[in-house]
Amino acid sequence: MLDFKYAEYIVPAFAITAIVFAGLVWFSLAHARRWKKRFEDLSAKGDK
Amino acid sequence: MSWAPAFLSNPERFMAFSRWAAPMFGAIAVALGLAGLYLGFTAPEDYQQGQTVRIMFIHVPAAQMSMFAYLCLAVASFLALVFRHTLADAAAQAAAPIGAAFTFLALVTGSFWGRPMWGTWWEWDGRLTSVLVMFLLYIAYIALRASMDDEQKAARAAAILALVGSINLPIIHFSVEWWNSIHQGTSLFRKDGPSMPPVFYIPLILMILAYMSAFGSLWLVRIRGELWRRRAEAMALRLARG
Repeated sequence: MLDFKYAEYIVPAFAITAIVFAGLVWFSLAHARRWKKRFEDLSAKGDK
Repeated sequence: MSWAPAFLSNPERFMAFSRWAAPMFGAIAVALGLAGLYLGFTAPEDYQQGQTVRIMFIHVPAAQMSMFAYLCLAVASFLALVFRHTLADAAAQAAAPIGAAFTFLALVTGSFWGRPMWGTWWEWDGRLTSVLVMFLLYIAYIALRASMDDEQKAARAAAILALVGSINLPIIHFSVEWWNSIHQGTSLFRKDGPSMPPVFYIPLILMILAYMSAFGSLWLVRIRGELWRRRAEAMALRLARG
C-alpha cells in the first residue's frame, strides 16, 4: 500500500482525475436534464 | 448488421436504447474502476518507479480514451459531413468535450508521473507535443462550433477540422517509434505480450475498461442532451412562428 513516498505527485494526480470525472458527470447530466425539461415545458405550452 | 443503419438513422430508437444503456455503462464503469483501483493500490511497488507506478492506472486509460474519443469524433464528423445526419452530428458535438477532458487528464497525470521519473514536468518531444496538439484540436473544434450563428455552417467547418486533425492520431501512436522520445514505448498491447507482470497489467486493463465504459455512458448522456436541445430549439421556433 501507499507509504506516501512521492505522495506530492500521486495524490494530486488522483485528485485532479476525480474532480474532472465529477465535473464531466455533473455537467453532462445537468445539460441533458435542462434541455429535456425545456423541451417538455415548450411542448406543454404548445399543447395549450 | 442490417440493424445498424436503421438504428443510426432513427433518433427515437437511439433515445430508447440510450435510456437504459447510459446508466448500465455508468454502473459497469464504477464496478470496474473500484476493482481496478483496489488491485492497483494493493499491487507492490515497482522496483524502479516505486509508488509512482500507481499513476499509470489513471494516466494510460486517460491517454487511450483521449485517442479513442478523437476517433469517435472523426468518424461521427465524417458521417455527418457525408450523410448530413443529425444523430452523427450530435455524436460528434458530444464527443469533443469528453475527449478534451480525457486529453487534459492524460497531460496532467503524465506530468505528475514525469516529474519524479524523468526530472521534468514537460518536454517538447514527439509523444507529448502530439498529444498537446490533439488537446488544442479539441478546443478549436469546440470553439469553432460556438463561434458561428449558423449552426449548420459551424457543424460543417468543425467536421472538416476534426477530419483534418485525425492525421494526428497515427502521429501520436507511432511518435515513440519514429523519434527519440523521453516517453516509453508500447508496453501493454504488444505482439509478444505485455512488458509488465500480471500484478500491474490486470488492474491496468480493468481501469482501461472502466474508462471506456465511462466514456460510453457520458457520450450517450451528452448525445441525449444535444438531441433534447435541438428538439427544444425547434419547438421554440415553431411556437414563435405561431
